[in-house]
Amino acid sequence: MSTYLITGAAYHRIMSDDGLPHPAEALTLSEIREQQARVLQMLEQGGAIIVYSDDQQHLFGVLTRDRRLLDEASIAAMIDNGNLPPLAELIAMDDRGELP
Amino acid sequence: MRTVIAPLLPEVEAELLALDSRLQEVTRRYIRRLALEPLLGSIVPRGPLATVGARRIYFDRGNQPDDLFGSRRLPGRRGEQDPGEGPAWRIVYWVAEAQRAQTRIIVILAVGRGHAKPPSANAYELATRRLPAVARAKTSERRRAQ
Repeated sequence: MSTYLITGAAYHRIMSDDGLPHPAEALTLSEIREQQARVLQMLEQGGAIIVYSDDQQHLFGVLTRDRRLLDEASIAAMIDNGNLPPLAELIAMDDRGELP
Repeated sequence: MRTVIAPLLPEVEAELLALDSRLQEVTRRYIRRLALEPLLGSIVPRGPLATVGARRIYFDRGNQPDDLFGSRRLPGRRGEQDPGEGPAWRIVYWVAEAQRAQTRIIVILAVGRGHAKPPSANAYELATRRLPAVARAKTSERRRAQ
C-alpha cells in the first residue's frame, strides 16, 4: 500500500467543493496594472479579484471569468451600447421570424 | 433555454454579401442551424477568442448545412494533409447565456477564409478585432437613460 503526505493547505485545495472561486484576492487598480501577468494567471485558473480604488475607499466590484457572469455582463453591455436589442425585443423579433 | 441569433453586424452582412451565391446560401443555412445546435462549431483553442469561448464552423461550398445527422458529411482534412486542403471558410461565433432570462444568444463575429494572405485578414483576425467592439458603445444611446 502506498501513502502520500500532503500539507493541510494542499489537502483543502484539492478537497474544496464549496463552489467558490480560487484563488481570490483583493487588489487596487494600480496593483492590478503592476501585476497584470499574475492577475491574468489567476483569472485563467478560475480565480477572482476584488477590485478597490487606489485609496481603498471605493469597492469597484469583482474581476472574474466566471462564464455565467461574463456572459450576462457582455450581453448587458451590448444591449446598453445599442449593439443588441433588449432581450424582450430580441425574442419578439425571433417570434416574428426577423432574425437570421 | 431558448436560443436566438443576434441580428448580423453590418460588417458580417457585408462579408456574406461578398460571397458567391452558393457560399452565401451555405453560410446562411449554417447560421440558421445554430439556433438548433448552438454548440455545433468547435471551440477556438487559442488567443482572445478562446478566452470568451468563441466557436468556429468549417465549411465549403460542398457542405450540406441541413444534413443534421451527417449522413452526407464530406470528408474532413486529415492530419497529414496541408491546411489549405481542408474547408476554406469559417463562421466564427460567440455563444452567451443569460441564465435568468433563460435565453442563449449567438453573435456571429465573422465569416471569411480560415487562411488569408496579407493584407487580407482571415476570419479569426476579423472576429478578434470585433470582439471588444461588440461590447463597446457605438452610439450615444443608452438603454437605462431612455
